[in-house]
Amino acid sequence: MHRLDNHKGFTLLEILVALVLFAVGALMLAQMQLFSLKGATFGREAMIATISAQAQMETFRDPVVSPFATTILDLPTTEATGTVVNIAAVPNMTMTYWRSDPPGGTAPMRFVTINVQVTWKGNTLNFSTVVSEV
Amino acid sequence: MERKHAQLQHRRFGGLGGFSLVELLVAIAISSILAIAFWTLAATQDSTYKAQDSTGEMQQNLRVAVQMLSGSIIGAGLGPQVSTINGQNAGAWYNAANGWVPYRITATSIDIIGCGQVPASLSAQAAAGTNVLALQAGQGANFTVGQDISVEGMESAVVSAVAGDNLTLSAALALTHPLQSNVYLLQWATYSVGGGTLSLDLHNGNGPQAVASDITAMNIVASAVDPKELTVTITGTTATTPTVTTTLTDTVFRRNN
Repeated sequence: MHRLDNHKGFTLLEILVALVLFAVGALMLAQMQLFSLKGATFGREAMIATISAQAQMETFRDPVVSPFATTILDLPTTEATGTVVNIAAVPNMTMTYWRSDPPGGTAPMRFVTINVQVTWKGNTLNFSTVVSEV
Repeated sequence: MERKHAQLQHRRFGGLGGFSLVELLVAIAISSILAIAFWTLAATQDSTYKAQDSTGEMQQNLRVAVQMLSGSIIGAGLGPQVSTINGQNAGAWYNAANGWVPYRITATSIDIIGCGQVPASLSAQAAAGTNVLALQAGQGANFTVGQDISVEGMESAVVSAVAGDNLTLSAALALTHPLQSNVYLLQWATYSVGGGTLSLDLHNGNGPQAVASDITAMNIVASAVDPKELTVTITGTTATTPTVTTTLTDTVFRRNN
């Protein structure tokens, strides 16, 4: 009977604790949504990064646009000195490319590895391809 | 006060009264606030889920569109210069600046000649002057009469008969092709964008077939330095509102001719 006799309502503290618990639950739900949104955005940006890097490597395979003896051998040879290009489709996305040093093989059958690194918002994706002289 | 409490107690637990109107109103107000809060959250989550679902689908379509088109451009111009393919005139493939080009670009479409699969290779040397190609075991089934083929990209021919793994050509070969030479299927492919869909017409009598939906624009530009290098820009837009648009730009250069 003791419980039924208790005719006091909730105290302010009890109400506040209940509210805080409710808010924490609601916030976690909202957080989940934010998390999945971030995942979807990363997917889109990674796709743009991949296609951009692919396109860049493709131009190095075209002997008219990028002659091996001049354009390819003239590429920077370290990541630190690599050529930096902005990718306009995503804010703050930059692509850096450089070649391995020294080239493998002997002229006129040399080959180099071309490295492309795309970075944005703390994300980094690395790509590489081999381009040959003939 | 004591009496009032006692009365209330009596009313509440004795089953004689019920909640007072004020208590009921407060309870309804609080529960509706909570219900609205949860409903809002659920509704937001539902629309976010739907938007993400259609965005993912659109991006998938976009990637397929870019990769198919790029793959076809890489293989363009395989084999010798032809202007008739699949028994039809492929049109004017000549261009004042560049001579024969294996593609023709308009604002909403691109025709590509020469992109094809490699379904077979020779099981014996085919000497100049012969009109029969001997293929590896089982590969004859990949060909039908009337198809345009290319032998190692060196010369083209039309299949006039298929007997087991031997192809009979409509004309004698001009060159000698060694054992293991690849036999390609020549294709005339037309990619076009319209009504939010990228379609592919292989001019084989089936008409344009949908390749990817959610594709709203396509732009193809040849490089000023090398006409063989094309930059493909494809825009995808989700079918649901609010629409999400993504544009992908790829650069490819054709390896042939």
